[in-house]
Amino acid sequence: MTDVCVSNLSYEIEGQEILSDISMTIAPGKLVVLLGSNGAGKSTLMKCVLGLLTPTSGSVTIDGVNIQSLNAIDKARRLSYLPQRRPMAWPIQVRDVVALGRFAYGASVGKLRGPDERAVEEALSTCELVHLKHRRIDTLSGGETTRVHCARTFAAEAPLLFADEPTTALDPRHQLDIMQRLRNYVSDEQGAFVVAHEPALAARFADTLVWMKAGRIIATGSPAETLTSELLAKTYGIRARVFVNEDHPVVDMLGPVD
Amino acid sequence: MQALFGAGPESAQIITQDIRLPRALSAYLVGLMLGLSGAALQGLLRNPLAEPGVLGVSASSSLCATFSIYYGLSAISGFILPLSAIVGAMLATLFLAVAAIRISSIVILILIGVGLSSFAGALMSLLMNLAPNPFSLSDMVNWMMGTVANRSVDDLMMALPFMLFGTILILSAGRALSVLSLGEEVASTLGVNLPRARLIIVVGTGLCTGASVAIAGAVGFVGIVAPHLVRRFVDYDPGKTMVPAALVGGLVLVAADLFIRLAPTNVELKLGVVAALIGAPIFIWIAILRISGEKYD
Repeated sequence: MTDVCVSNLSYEIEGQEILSDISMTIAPGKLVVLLGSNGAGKSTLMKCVLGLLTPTSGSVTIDGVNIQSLNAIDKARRLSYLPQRRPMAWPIQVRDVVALGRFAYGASVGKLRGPDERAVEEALSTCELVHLKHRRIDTLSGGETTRVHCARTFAAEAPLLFADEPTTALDPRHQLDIMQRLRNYVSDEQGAFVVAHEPALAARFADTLVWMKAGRIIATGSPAETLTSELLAKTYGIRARVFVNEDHPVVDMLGPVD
Repeated sequence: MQALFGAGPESAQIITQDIRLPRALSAYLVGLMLGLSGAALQGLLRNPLAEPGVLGVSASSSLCATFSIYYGLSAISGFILPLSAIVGAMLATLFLAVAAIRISSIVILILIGVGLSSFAGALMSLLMNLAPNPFSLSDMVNWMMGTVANRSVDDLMMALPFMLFGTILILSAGRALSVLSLGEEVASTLGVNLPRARLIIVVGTGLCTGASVAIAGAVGFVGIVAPHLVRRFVDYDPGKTMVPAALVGGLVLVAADLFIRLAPTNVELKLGVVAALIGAPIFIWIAILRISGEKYD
């Protein structure tokens, strides 16, 4: 069981506070979605949690060990990361991209052994990429490319998966598709922490919603408890009606708060 | 062929074993090192236009060699010249290695390399400007143009340990280079120790490039052309590009040197000149392809 504990974390850039006094725990078994307006500090929080940024104060620990003192391989075996921007320097094959997810287990691209091969094949089939596995990644559509990066993240089989805006720039069908795959990733041994921009979509798949505004967490709870007009107004500055239709939450956005 | 293995007339044996063989070996080894260094730097910087010249390693190496000629140090012993080339490359890589640990942006690292290269070039021009006599000047020009003519087996043995060590370092970072295709942030979350990977590549390419400058002087563009030729055959994986790029780099220089020996010119052409005549247009070609969006081929 791997858990990440964030305590009293603050992060400043040139004296400007981006995150202030954030405390939370991330553990397997749950799909947690982080919501907040642009610039609320969601991506920065995720990068601090992953140890990519060093907090100004406070700490992030994995199973009690400070993330900054953990070596790269140990970290990679516990946390996997799907970033918001996914640059590819070279047009390598789909299967090779997914295989890179196994780096921390000693896998070499093109020469996969036992468990690595199984993990890669499984990730490819989970993301319906088997028929595309020998294609160059630059020849794929946006939805397919996102699936490749998801598969790469899944192949690591890490206890905790972090995805930053995995559904941005995707059409509605692909948004549902990616969220469902993240939902399926979550089990007793595995959890996911996802940054998203569509409250209704997030509420439909998440166990827990974390609401951020101006670098602070303003609410944490189940979708039923927290997806409310008040929080939508406070977080995004919008007037909205929330109702439930066939078990699915619906957010009817009326306009900006006056 | 017979002369190579100790048969045939004595004169033919001497020509083949003492002149032709070291020359061909030099061309091959220099090409090998430059192809390998180019592929490694391109993987690290994620840019098909990178090569030892970009980071200023070749220029610094040539500068130190020129410096030793200028002050007559090279006259003291035959070993001073190659040694100073290696020292120059190592100083440049040391400087870059320190910068690489502190600087997280690869773009800034490239800019520092470009600056270093220009500065070394300026100092080299200064030395040539101040050359005490035409003989020193012609020595320096020879060194700058790059040639594998008149190399002995001893020259090669001097450089060999540095080449071996550099090659081992570079090849050990192959997997890290593959992962770097996904960008530095993802690479580090996948388990790559970024500062260490950068250090290994920078020191490895410094050794290989310095040793090749010690043998042949400054020979440019092989490090760009060789990886470009092989990349599509290894599915564009930067880790898998290195060995074939090195082998092709060796072949390219041997072919270029063969062309030089057979070309019907009164004055023998310099290897570096021929390499640049072929390589520079290819460099521009790759750059134009990148602009028009077909950035990979």
